Amino acid sequence: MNRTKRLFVPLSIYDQQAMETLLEKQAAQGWLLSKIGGWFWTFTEIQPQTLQFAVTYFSKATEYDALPTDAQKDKEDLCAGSGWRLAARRHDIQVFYTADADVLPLETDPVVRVASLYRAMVRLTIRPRLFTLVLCLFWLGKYWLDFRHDAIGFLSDSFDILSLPVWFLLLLACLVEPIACLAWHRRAGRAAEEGGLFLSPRIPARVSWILVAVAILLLCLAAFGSPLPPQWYLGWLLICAAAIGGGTWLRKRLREKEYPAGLNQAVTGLMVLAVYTVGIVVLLAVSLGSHLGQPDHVVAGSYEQNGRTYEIYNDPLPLVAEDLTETDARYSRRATAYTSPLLQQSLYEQSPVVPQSAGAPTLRYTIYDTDFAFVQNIVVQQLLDEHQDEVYEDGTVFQDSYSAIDPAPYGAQAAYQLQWSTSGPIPQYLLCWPGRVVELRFAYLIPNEEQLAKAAGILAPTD
Amino acid sequence: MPRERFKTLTEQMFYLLLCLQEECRGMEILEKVRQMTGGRVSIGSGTLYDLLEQFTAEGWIEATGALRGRRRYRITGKGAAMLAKEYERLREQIRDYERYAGKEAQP
Repeated sequence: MNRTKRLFVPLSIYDQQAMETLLEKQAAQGWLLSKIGGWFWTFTEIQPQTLQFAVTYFSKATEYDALPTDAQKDKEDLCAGSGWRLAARRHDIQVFYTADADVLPLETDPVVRVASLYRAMVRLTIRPRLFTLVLCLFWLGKYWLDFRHDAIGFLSDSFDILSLPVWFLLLLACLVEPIACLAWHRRAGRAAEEGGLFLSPRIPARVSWILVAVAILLLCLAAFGSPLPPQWYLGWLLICAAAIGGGTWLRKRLREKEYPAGLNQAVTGLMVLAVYTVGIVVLLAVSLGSHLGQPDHVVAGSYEQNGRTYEIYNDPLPLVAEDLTETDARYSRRATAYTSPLLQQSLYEQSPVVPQSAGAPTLRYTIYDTDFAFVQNIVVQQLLDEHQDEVYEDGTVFQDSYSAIDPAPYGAQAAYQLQWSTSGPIPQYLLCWPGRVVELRFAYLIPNEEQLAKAAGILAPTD
Repeated sequence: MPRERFKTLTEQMFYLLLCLQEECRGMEILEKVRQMTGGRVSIGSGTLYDLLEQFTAEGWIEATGALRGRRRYRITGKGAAMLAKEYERLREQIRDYERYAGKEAQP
C-alpha cells in the first residue's frame, strides 16, 4: 500500500493557478493528490513525474449529496475520454490530471469558463455570505431597538457594547468576498467576450478571515467583560461545538449511506437546532438555579414577612440616610453596578426592614458615570423623558415631569426636581455634573436645602 | 442564467449547436467539431460539459439518452432559432465586409 501524507493548503478556493502549481510540484516530488479536505489535502506516494493538473468547479452538488453524483460522473467520464483523469473530488471542485503534455486543455472557452466559475461563486460564496449578512443586519437591528427602548441599559451593558463592533466586522467580512466576486465577474466577462481572455479571480479571502478573527477576539473580550462568568460562555461554546460537530458527523453518515440530499439537509438541520435548543435550555436552567451572573451582595441576615423570607444586605453605599438625619431604624443596604466602557450605572438602595422599621427614611439613587459627553446627554435626556407624563399600564397618565431648579447650591451643572401636576414637587432630584449624573429619590424624608446640599456634596464627583 | 452573453455565440458554442443537428454523445461531439472545422476549433471536455449543462438548462438542446454516460443530445427548436440568428449576424458581418473592405480590395 502506498504511503500517504496530509498537507495544509491555506489557499482560496478560487486560486486555481496556485492550486495547480502546488499539485504539479507535489507530483514532481512523488505525491499525487488523492483527497481534498477543507484545509488539509491528502496525497498518495507515486513515482516522481511531470503531471499537468486542472482544477474545475462543480456547482450542481452540495455537501449533503452522496459523492460522486451522476452529474459528476458524467463530467469525469467526458474528461477521461479526452485524456484527463480524476485525481480527487469534493462536492464543489474536481481536480483532473494528465501526463500528456500535448493534451487539449479542459477549459477552452473563456466565456464559458467565466460563467461556470461565477455559478460556483454564487453557490459557494455569494449566497452563504448574504445569508450571514442578513443575520448580522438582524442583530444590529435588535441592538438598535434595544437602544431605542432603553438607551441607558444598552450603554451600560458591557456585552452589548463590546459585541456591537463584532457584528459590524462580520457585516464587513460578509461583503468583502461577494463584492470581489461581482467585480471579477464584471471584468472577466468583458475580457472574455471582447478579448477572448480569462482573467483569474483575486478574491481577498484572507481579509475576511482576518476580520472574522478580530470579531472573535472582540467577542471573547465582551464575554470576559460581561457579568456572566467565563464558565457560562464555555458552556455556550461547548453547546455550539456539540451542535456543529454533531451536525457534521450526521451529515457525513447520511451521505455515506446515500440518503437523498434534501433529507440529509433536513435531518441534519433539525438535529443541530435540537442540540442547540436543548443545550441552551439546560444552560439557562443551571444558570438560574445557581444564580450565575447575579450581582454579589453582602448578606447580613434575613427576615420573614407574609410567609416569605427576605435577605438583609449590607453593601457599602456612598450615601446613607444616617448622613442626612438621625435614625435608629434597621436597614437593608443594596448596591448593584453595571459597567461598560461607555457608561457605569450604579444603583443604590437603603430601605428599612419592615415591619419593625416601617416608615423610616428611605433612599434610592442611581449614579451614572461616563467619560463621554454624548453618553451623558443621552442619559440625561432619557431620564427627563421617562418622567414626562408617565403612562401607567391601566392607561392613567401621571402628569409628572422634571423641572429645572437652581444647580448652584449643589455645585452642579444642572439640577431638576420632579413635579407632579396635582401635588406639586416631590423629593426626587436629578443632579448633573461633568461626567456624572445622579438620580436621587427619598421616601419618608423630605430633605431640606441643607440636607440636599450635603447629599449632593457626598455624591458629586471627587475630581 | 444565461445571460446577456448568449445574445451572440462564441465559436465553440456555435459549432456545438451546429453539430447537434444530429443526435450525438459527448465524446462524439468533441470529434465531430474537430472534423467539421478541420481541427481549427477544438472544445475542451470541461468546457463541453459546462456548455451541455447550460444549453440544456436554456432549452437549446435536449438530452435523449436516459442512462448515465450514454446520454445523447440534440438541438431543439429554440436552439435552432438561436443558431439561425447567429448565422444571420455572421452573414451581416460578411455582407458589411464585402460592401466596404471587399470593394476597396477590388482593382
